[in-house]
Amino acid sequence: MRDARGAPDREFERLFAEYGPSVRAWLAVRAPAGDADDLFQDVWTIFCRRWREWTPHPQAEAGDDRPVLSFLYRTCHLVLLAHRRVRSRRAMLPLEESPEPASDGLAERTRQIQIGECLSAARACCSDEDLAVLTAKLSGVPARDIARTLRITESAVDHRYRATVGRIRDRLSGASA
Amino acid sequence: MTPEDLHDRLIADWRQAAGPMPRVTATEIAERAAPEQASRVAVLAELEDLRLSFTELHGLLDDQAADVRATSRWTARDVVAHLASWAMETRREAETLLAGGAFDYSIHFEREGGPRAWNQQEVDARARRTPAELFDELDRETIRTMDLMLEASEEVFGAVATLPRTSGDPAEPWRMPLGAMVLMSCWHARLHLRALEELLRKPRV
Repeated sequence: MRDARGAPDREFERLFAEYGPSVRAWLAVRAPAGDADDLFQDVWTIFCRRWREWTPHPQAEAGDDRPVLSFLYRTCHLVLLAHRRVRSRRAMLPLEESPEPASDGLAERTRQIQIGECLSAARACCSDEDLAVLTAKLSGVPARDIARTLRITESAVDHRYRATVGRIRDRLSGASA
Repeated sequence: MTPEDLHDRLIADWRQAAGPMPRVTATEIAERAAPEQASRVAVLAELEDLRLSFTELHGLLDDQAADVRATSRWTARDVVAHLASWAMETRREAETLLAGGAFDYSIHFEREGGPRAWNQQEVDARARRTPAELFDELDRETIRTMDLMLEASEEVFGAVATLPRTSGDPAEPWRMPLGAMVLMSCWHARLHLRALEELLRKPRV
């Protein structure tokens, strides 16, 4: 039985340990560095609330964890979109009406992460939607769920992935030439 | 560099990025998951998630499916009308709270079955609308609620508000922050969405 409000159950803890790193990596590639930790918490608090609603849990129906991975990917994408909307709204406000950036200490305890040469190249030469496809593919999200999240077709997902990899290769070749 | 080399390097980069966990724990996440503590970003993401779900449901609800009996009283189309009425009510409550106004009406929730009279009245008011019109209302109202979530000041977003929704005898108004009210509406919509999806994905005889 799950606690309605407080402590997480063991299965939630297992999923957090299993997929926390993927969520963190999606955000490391797509979110501004200073915001990634707050957004990480948004993704997981949304998942935690949903987890309390799901009976039976989706992975129990499917016999594996992929529905959870897909849900986290979709949530991460929507959190990023929402974050950009809030930021652009704040940018339009007069300075005296702009709230102070939230900082609660918890986020500050998390660590910055390195994303490596290829992912750095991807970030430098690809659109956010390209990065959304690339990072989903690298983490094993099924193409059908990537397509649903991004509101594109599965063939568009495959096409975009190949084009993105091609662009990264060109950039790295240019850098080494 | 061959495509295979690049693929291997991307995978290696990915493994590095998805390396050590943040120090925030599952317990801390669970403690922060109460709807009253939800951030504006989380509320917006939940609303956008609903919009995606409405679009997916619309794809399943052809004219024939709209007439399928979903509950003892309502067809699938009626349930969508019910969702549209709550999308409207959620937007209306958010709008009133942003304007600093008070509610001059109440929606009373019975111990079982919720606000039955109000629910039926709102479904009846939409009886002549097609599923496409109902989905249009759902999307429009959800987008408007998202705009309101963006417009709300920090003070209005975080303050505990008195809602027109009541329960108990004597009736007591519900009190919660704006974001929690919207999340509660999202939760209610998802309950119906899940039941409808399950129903509509069953093979029809």
